[in-house]
Amino acid sequence: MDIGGYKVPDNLLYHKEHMWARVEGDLVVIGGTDFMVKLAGTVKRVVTLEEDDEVEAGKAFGTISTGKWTGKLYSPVTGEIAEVNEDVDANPKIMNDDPYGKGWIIKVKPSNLQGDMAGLMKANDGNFEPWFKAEIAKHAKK
Amino acid sequence: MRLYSLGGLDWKSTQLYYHAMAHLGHEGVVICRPNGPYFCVGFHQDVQQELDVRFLNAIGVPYFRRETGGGTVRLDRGQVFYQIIINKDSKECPPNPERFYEKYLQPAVEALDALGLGAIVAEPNDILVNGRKVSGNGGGDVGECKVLVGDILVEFDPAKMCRGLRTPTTAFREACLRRMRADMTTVWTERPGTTAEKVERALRKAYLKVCGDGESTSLPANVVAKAKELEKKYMAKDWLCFPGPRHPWRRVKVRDGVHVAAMPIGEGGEVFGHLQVESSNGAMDRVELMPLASSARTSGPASAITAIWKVLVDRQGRPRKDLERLLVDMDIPKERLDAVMTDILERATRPGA
Repeated sequence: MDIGGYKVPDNLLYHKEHMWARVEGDLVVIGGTDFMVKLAGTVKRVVTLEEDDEVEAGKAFGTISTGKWTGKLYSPVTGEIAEVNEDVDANPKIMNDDPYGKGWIIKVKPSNLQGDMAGLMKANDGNFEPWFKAEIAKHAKK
Repeated sequence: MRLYSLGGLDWKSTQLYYHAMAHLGHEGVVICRPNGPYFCVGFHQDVQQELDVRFLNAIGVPYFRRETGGGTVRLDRGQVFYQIIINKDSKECPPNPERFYEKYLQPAVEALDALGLGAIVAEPNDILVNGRKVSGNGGGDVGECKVLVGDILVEFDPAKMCRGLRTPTTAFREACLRRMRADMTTVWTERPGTTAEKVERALRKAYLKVCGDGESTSLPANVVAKAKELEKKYMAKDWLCFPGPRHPWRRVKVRDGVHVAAMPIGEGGEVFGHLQVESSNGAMDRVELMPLASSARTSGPASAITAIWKVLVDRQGRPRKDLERLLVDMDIPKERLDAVMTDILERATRPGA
């Protein structure tokens, strides 16, 4: 799915801070959306909490730097970090090149998956597109 | 939002106060100046890779790693700071960093204009006078606030700045110095006789327009107390020396779009020189080969050219990933990467390069 020139795969769950989540077995894979990385520019560095650290839904688990700005990465779910993507650490630009694939950031073992999923959005929900278009307008560069 | 005109402060307070305000969610604009020199690196930078720490320790110049973005800077009493701290959910706060810079750099531009300098913003976050950088800025999310930290260069000595940087060769340091002299300017250069106090007054006047709650000359006690508390965190070695990714290259950003970079050239663990490049606005200004021993320019023997070629291209003759990543780090646009890499390879292996 494409909204306003931004890729929005319909098999993912979305957090309002422009993070995505995908359930894979007993883990949740988390990354930044195409919208987030396009708005940020070339990602120069990503720093996250480490494996076994706790993350909380809606709270920051890391930072993303583009050289000119340092922003926060928010977790869509609560749980424990099971894996950190070392490729993103070594080559942060893969977040720009492949945000929904090789550019994933962390995998979390969730502790409240059903509860957290209720607070996330799906691209094919009726109210997603209006919300997303409003976000594009709000964040538009000019 | 209130304007805090704090005048001269000890160097640590010039950093700790705005961090404290952001972590407390205390909005405001701070105008201040450090009483002595120090180096400051951006959140994403690695102090050990950026600075000649041994040299700085020997001469007693401290360093700091801030929570906001931007690059390495040398700060001293010749610079006037403006720091904007605003709640990220405030209706006054543009959500997009570029718009945020645009809104809150405008008063700094007005202040320079009022001093007769004719400044413009070079997007996203440099301020230029006569095409040269007179103000550096960085920003980021700190606590629940968005923060912009910037300074006006009233006086600035590029030689002192370059001496504190960690550089792979003397030639690299000289290239940084040459580019800084060419691409940066100061208020004093443009308008001799304009003092830091005058710049401070102009900034206060301009930023008061975005501060509806008036001006103070001191901070609330809770901000000062929070700064004291944060000092332990920011001065701890694990914060200051937080390791960054180890790139095979060294890059220094002089201003937006202007970079000096060097990548070691060698084989089998033996480094025999550096490929040194300078870029401006997405194109290579200079491509040079620097042998390690003398750091003098050389055409190199044929065998060295062959070795360089091997280092820069893979078996299929394509530029190696390291070179591509260096160029991305130098903000070369994606659509120009192939052309720029080809240009570098041709110039680096050309006799007399």
